[in-house]
Amino acid sequence: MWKTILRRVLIMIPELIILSVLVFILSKQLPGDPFTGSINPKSSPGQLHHLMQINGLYDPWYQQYWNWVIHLFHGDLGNSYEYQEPVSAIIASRAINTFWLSLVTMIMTYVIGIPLGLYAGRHEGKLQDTLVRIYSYVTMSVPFFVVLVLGCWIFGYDLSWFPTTGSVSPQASGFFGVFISRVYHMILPATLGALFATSGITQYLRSGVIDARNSNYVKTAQAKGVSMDDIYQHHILRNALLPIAAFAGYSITGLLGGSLFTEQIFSYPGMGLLFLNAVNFRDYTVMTALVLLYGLLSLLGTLLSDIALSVIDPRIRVE
Amino acid sequence: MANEKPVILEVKNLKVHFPIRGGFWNRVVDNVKAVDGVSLKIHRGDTYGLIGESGSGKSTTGKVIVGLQESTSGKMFYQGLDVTDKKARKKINYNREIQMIFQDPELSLNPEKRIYDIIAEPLRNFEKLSKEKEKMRVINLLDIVGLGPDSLYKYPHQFSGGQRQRIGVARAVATNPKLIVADEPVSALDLSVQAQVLNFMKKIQKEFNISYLFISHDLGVVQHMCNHIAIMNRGRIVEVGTKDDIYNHPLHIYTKRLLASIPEADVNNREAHRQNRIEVEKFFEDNKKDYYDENGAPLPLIQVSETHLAAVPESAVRGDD
Amino acid sequence: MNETDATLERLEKEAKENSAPSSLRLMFNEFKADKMAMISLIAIVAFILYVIIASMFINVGKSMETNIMGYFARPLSPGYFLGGDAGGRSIADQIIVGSRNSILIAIGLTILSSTFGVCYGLFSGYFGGIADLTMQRVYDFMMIIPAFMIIIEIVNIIPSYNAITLTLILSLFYWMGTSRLIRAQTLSEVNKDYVSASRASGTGTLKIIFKQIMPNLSSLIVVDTTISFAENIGVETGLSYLGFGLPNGTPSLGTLIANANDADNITTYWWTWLPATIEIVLLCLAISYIGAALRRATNSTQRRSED
Repeated sequence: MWKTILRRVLIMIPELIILSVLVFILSKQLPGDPFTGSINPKSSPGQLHHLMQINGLYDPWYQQYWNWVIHLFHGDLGNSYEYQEPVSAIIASRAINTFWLSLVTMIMTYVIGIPLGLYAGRHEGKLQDTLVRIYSYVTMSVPFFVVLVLGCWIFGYDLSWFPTTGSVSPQASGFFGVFISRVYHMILPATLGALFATSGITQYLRSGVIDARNSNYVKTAQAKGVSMDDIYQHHILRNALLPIAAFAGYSITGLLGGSLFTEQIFSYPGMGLLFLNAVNFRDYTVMTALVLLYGLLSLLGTLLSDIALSVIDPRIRVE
Repeated sequence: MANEKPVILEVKNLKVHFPIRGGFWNRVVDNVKAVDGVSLKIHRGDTYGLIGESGSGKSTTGKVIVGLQESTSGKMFYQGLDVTDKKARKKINYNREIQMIFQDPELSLNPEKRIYDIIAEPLRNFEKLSKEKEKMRVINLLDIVGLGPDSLYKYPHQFSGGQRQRIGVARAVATNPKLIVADEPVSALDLSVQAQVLNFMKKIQKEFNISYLFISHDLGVVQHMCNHIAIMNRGRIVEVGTKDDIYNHPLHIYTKRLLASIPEADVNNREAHRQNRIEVEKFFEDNKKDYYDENGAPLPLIQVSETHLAAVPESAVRGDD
Repeated sequence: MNETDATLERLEKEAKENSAPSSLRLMFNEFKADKMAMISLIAIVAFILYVIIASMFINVGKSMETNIMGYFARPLSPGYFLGGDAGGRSIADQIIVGSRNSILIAIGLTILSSTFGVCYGLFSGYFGGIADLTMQRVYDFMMIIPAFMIIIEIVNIIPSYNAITLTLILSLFYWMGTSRLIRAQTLSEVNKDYVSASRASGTGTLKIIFKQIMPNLSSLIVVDTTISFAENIGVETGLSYLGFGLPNGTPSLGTLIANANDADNITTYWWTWLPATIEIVLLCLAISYIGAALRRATNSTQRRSED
């Protein structure tokens, strides 16, 4: 088992290298210097040429790549030309927001998806099941950002149940007050963002419940007089939770990709919105750093899930 | 009595080893010796039986002969020409002359193709016939295996297992090959249907003078079909000879064991038959160590008569006959 | 000669009478029996045709010009059937042309990524070994990179691009789902005897892959392509929504929905973004429904009579 884990971790190294090379190549095409941010990308071509010469940007590409990598290892992502501050600092504050939003989204996915799946499986064929299946089908067919826009409109603007911008209310005070405000701001985007993923979990659990209900060991338990509630809780749920948890790492890629839309629609100050602003303001250092960071996080997420799946018995209904 | 007929196919010391990988770097740690030194000669008009249990290597040998599996070492000759190398086979359109009938009627016909296309496939690859000639030929082949032209545009799932096997036979015969490798052609069929398919195969052999390499685990079926038989065990041939040699003068303990286990529908002698089986089994267990070397592999073959070879210790040859 | 011809004709007729439909044909027959699905299909095709034809009558350049007089014109006012946006441009015009653009791009994207994904999966599954391992590594890597961000970066790097080049760029990132599905199915087909039989009959590798194995995957491909189509509509529209899709001045469903970004628009001037949003929802639901119906049709024809 350790061999598989070690092998999987080792594979990560070439993936990392290729990712960094890809980001490097892409960013080299941007005017100015997207790696240290020392040159104003909006200068005229003549000025750019001059500045680039001074700053060693006509060195051979491998040299530049190597310099960049060394800087990365020191945690130096260059400076944002727009803000004239280190990129790492700028990203750090935003990253916390995105992290929390993603976490709450993931929690909502389980909070909504798991009970729905169990419920639908229990009442297979009946109205409740059909309703849940329709819900799954709708949330999976419609594009992600459309669900967000509609949800924001209905629950945010029309009904005013939830705030629609920002991560925290400016009037909030005190540790607890700020905490509540933050959570309140996250509920709508997180719930809407979770809808798409809940269909997957719901369907998985639903078929798991249906399969288990028809299996011999559950029928035996029933014959022995164990109540259905107990059966669901102890047998079925426990078996299904492990693979669901193992899949959590894979969801990081989706969560990050979705953050671009969620944060745009809800004006939520996270990394996604930072990226979009950076593109509009031609802040290439921030752009490059974020692309690299997102790729790295996805890589780690897939790594964790791969390892988790290889540890738990892959025969437990993992396709 | 030496066989005067020409040699169609000869295999010399064929070995097929599958690597087993292990360790951290997935290095090759050992080999599965599926085929470990097999030699045989098939003459024109022969029905050469290759018998053994699962894992004996008989199917793998068959696949190498048809060209579906590459050998690890050893040589193969078609009418004297060295065809060990894939390129050599391609040059002489090898598969036009050497064809195969597969075991499983469910899987050996493409469920998405109509019968016409299935049978015409080898024709389209090796012969350039006009559309009409091709169609007539397919109808002809269908007729030979007892199926009507209304089968042309049907799909495999519309036929029974026995019928599908017959279609497989028709496909194998399409290009008029010299040798057909039949890999357990009737093992997946009901007993009543088996005889029917086997009879078609015999009829075709007579009509077109085709040789068969008949691979099976069932000595009873083989008795019906083959004139020349080789018994395989653990990747090697342990006994080979004419039908008379094998059935009436078996020498190797494995051969004897196989023969004893042929089911007999002789109710009155049931007890005697069972006794015989138990004795042979006991003899096998007791003398195993004499007939297999320290690695568990069978001994080399010794020539016992002009047609009969057996992988037995010297003592057995001198002892009884 | 005449006699053989006559015999042949008669036999041919006999044979044709006994023929059975292929599995694809069976699936479509099953699908046609599903009334709701057929209605959806007809509605979608009709809508797409309408959008394509109607957009030919609209002068895009003129429609996209700002017209102060029409500033947030209300729906059903003269010349503004669905109202006007901040620039006084007709929403109705934009929706028609935008729909055409978005749908055509989605179709192009689906065709390209499906074709590539199917071939990728087939080759990966058939050849196995080192080729498969390498291709799987590439697949893993493509799944990791943040597609949207990289597309946005590319779009900003290239000096100019149009709908076609955009479609090409997008198709680089959306073939993975299809290839995974196809590869799994190919792996299970490759070990079946009929593939060996084809090889023993002398058929070349490419012919085996596309003429022998792929037909067995045909229903899978049809269902997957349909569902991918519904998903792919979200790709270009999403990009345009963020502002990085089609070049400025080219209407798209995404740019229309982006009107919802302004807090005022979303409630007061709801007609600027709501029609496009509703359209996308209906379109995607209908296409997904067709996909689900196709899948049901495949499953029910799977169990054919076997002896």
